[in-house]
Amino acid sequence: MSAVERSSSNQATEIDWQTIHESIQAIFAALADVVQSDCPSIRSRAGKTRTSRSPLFSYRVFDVPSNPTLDPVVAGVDFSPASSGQDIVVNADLCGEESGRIWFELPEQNLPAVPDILRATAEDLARKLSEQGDRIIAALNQQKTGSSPCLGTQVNSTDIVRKEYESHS
Amino acid sequence: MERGTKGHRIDLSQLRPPLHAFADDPNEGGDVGHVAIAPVDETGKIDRPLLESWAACRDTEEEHPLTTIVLEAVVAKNVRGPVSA
Repeated sequence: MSAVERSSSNQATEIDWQTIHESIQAIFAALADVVQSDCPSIRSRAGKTRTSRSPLFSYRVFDVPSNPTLDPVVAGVDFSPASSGQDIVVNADLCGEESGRIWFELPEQNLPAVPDILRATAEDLARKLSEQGDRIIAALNQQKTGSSPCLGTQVNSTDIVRKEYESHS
Repeated sequence: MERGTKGHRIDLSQLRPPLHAFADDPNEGGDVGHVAIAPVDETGKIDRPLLESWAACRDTEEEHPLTTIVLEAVVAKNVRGPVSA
């Protein structure tokens, strides 16, 4: 696959989605280091999906291998063609992999399909998600009954997350 | 979908073989409208080796061909549950 690819909406502008993905992942790697440092039982893995309808979803999944019943938390930045025009819609959030529960989300952005703008915005959103390491730990802790997967860092952010969700919905 | 959740809408008619959607049976505790997607063999039974290979790719960065089929059947992304309960 060519490093430089056209977006799924056949825009004239060539967008290097692989570079954008790598930029996001460089920031998520730092998030993973922080989370694992605070809570060694949490593992993470990077990934991306691309389809004919969706140019890029770049993500990092956080789970607890010792307790596979916990719904993993996905930190992700998603790009989609806007329903009209040539713009790209960007969403960034922390979401339950199985449940779809939104633990935290940033406001949706509608951007022109300009490579530099997309990359800068992707990095900005990834950085903002990377400031939410405590929420990732809390989201996993909150699901667990009995002992915490991460003793000493238990945070109950239910109300905070709910307020965040309502403020953006 | 519940409030505060999101998901992708999949057009099941766009799922290509060997994938098949199995509807939950409410009489067996399943949820109405929920389906499980799994690969089937030529007799229509779940292809367990293929299912296991699909599951095993979870921890890799490689996209499994079955995952590609599912992603191509997604017709709406980030569909949200109702804002009000």
